[in-house]
Amino acid sequence: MTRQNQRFHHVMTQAFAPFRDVPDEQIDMACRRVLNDLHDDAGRVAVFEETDRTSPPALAWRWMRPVAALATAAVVFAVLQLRVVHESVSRPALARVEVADGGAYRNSGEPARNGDSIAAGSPVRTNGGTGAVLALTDGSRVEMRSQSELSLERADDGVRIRLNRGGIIVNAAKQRDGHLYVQTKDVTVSVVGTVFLVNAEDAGSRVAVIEGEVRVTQGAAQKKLLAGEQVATSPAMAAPPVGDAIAWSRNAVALVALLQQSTLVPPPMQEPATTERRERFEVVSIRLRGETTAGARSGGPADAAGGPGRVPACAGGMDLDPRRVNFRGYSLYQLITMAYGGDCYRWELMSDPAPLEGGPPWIRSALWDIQALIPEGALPYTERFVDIGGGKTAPSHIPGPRLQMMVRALLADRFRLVLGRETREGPMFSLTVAAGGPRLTPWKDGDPVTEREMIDLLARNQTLLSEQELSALGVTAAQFAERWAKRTIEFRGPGLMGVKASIADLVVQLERATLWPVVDRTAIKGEFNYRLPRSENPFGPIQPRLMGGASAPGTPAFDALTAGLERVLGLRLEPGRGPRDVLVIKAVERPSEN
Amino acid sequence: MSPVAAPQPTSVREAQEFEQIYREHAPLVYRTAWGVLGSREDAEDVVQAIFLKLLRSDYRPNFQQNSKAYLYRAAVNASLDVLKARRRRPVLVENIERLDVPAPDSTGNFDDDMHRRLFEAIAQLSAEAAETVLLRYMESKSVTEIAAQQGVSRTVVAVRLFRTRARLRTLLRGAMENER
Repeated sequence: MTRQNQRFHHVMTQAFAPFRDVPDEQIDMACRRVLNDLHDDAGRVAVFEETDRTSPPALAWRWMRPVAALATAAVVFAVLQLRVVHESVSRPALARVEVADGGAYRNSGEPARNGDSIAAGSPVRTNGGTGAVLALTDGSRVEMRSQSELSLERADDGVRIRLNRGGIIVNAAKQRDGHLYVQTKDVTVSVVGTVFLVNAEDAGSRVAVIEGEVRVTQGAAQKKLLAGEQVATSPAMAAPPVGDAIAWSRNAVALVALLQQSTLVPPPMQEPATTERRERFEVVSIRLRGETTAGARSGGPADAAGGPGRVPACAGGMDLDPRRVNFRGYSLYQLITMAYGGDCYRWELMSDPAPLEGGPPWIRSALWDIQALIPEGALPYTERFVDIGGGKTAPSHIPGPRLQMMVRALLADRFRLVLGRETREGPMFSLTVAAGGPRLTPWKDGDPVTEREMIDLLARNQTLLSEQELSALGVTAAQFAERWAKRTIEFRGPGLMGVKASIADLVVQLERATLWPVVDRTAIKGEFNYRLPRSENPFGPIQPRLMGGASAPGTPAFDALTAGLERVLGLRLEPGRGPRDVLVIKAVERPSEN
Repeated sequence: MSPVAAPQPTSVREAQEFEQIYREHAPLVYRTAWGVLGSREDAEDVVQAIFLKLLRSDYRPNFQQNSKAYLYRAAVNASLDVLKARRRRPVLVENIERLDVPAPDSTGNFDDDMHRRLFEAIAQLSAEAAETVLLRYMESKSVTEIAAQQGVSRTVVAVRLFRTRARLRTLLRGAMENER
């Protein structure tokens, strides 16, 4: 081959290399988006300017379903409201508000203030912010998480807390001659003196005990729970460790200490509740695809994160349809992250503490091809519509808790995996309001609703980039706007940005950026537009992965982020330490192939 | 033959059949279009355009005989149309964060400008030439496999490849000299 031919061959090989290795999940996502558009008459007309309809008639029902669901929800909501108003007649006070940081409301919609009395039957709601603390007349304390709602009522032999939604931590005073009850739609908890957590979600309820013991009644069944134990009424509910579940509390550190004292020997992880044991694949085929080596290409960001000397563990791809799941080139490490709800790339970078400890080297290096048949009708995933820009959404299939349960059973059966959960103290952040107050721009009707629309708007207004960024690109603001409109300029992402976003959305972005848990203590509610330009925020969406999680306080990247947050958004990110749960591999074996 | 009625998948069975074809072939069309266009959004539009046409037409004889080759050719043609439409507008090669494309490995840095030049050059090729070169370098197919897919002899493929390489070398002359 001539030198010229060699060069040509090299150029062509290099040019198409990225497209040969496109991750299957990405192709799958793209194809699902398009299929969704094909099913969507509006999208079809918009893109192709065609006027006649050819979609299958059955698909027209897709439009009807959400409308019908909304109408039904509106009727149900109205009926519930009427019932609530009807019940909220004047009754004696059963509690008073001890702490409310602006995010708590009483039935009438007026803000609940410290010292306010709470009458029987009068609902208390927490929206954004840090929740609220109620002091009951018997001395018990009830800490409400944000986005929770409860009411109090007299029971035959004590007080009943009716938890309609959200989560509470109850520090029950010793009851002299009665009981304190917590009731959700499907479970009743009765206590005589203890500390425990109750979550009421759409899927069901979860009760976890921090100290003492409680009795949980569901229908005719009754169960006693001791400290460190928890129970969920639905297998579809996630079962994070108790330490994780109480991390939102303003007393989280003390509660975890209490939990550790109460459970001197951390219980080995139970395959959750007996009902969940039924979540199994019907048929499982496992084959070893190969072994990766240190520094090998993984095809994903973990490659860059891992760097030389580190075996990339998150290279696998997954296909999911109603009856079959196919893991391609999954390491055991990646399977565990999937089964326990973690982000593999993020886990790989987290340290102090690492989310998964122990195990032999092959849990990262051995890559398995696993095909499994899902029991008929199990549907262990949820379909979520995600914003893909341009005002479009597309379905994304998110593996759900039931699939996670099935993978856990697979890991236990075939890999003989035994995991334990242990609590370590690790770094966390609190998001608070800076001294000058928040500088967030409220989203209002008519504002863009997607990031892409917002970027276009900012570019048109020539306010998209800071002077430093424009200088780096060598263009003026006007030149940038013109070239951006024609898409002839390369622009590496918008930085940390939110459009019609809540503080909870910002918290998620900050957790991704810093790799640390972030607790919202701002008490800010509402939806905002914000943008931290890249010059203020050295982290892009996946930048921390590439930077090896170099986001600890004291590093230039972290200092730039916190300074930018304070200067641009009027928020502070304060480092601290708190309880973190880690998984520890107690035993594991290589599976026999079939 | 009498005129064919508007070919709509009016039955559930037809809708299912269409989805089956889509699931089987859409990834190939997507990857091909992305390889030619270097833009995820444009590639999705190409997939949508091709399957929409398929949905609107009855599946033509060519499609039924060799659906994979038919769709591959359709993907290349549609992508070339997009490329030609934007020839005077440089391709925005989306940044690596958004695309999640595996980063170039340590053996070489293939820069965005080179991609842009290559796409512009491919846009100037004929459909047959572009398809042949893509099958060879993107799909890593042998001359024999390409000949089978295109229904021509190996000699035709070899000659077409030789000529297309020469044409691309000419079009990329300046850029290739900077590429090692």
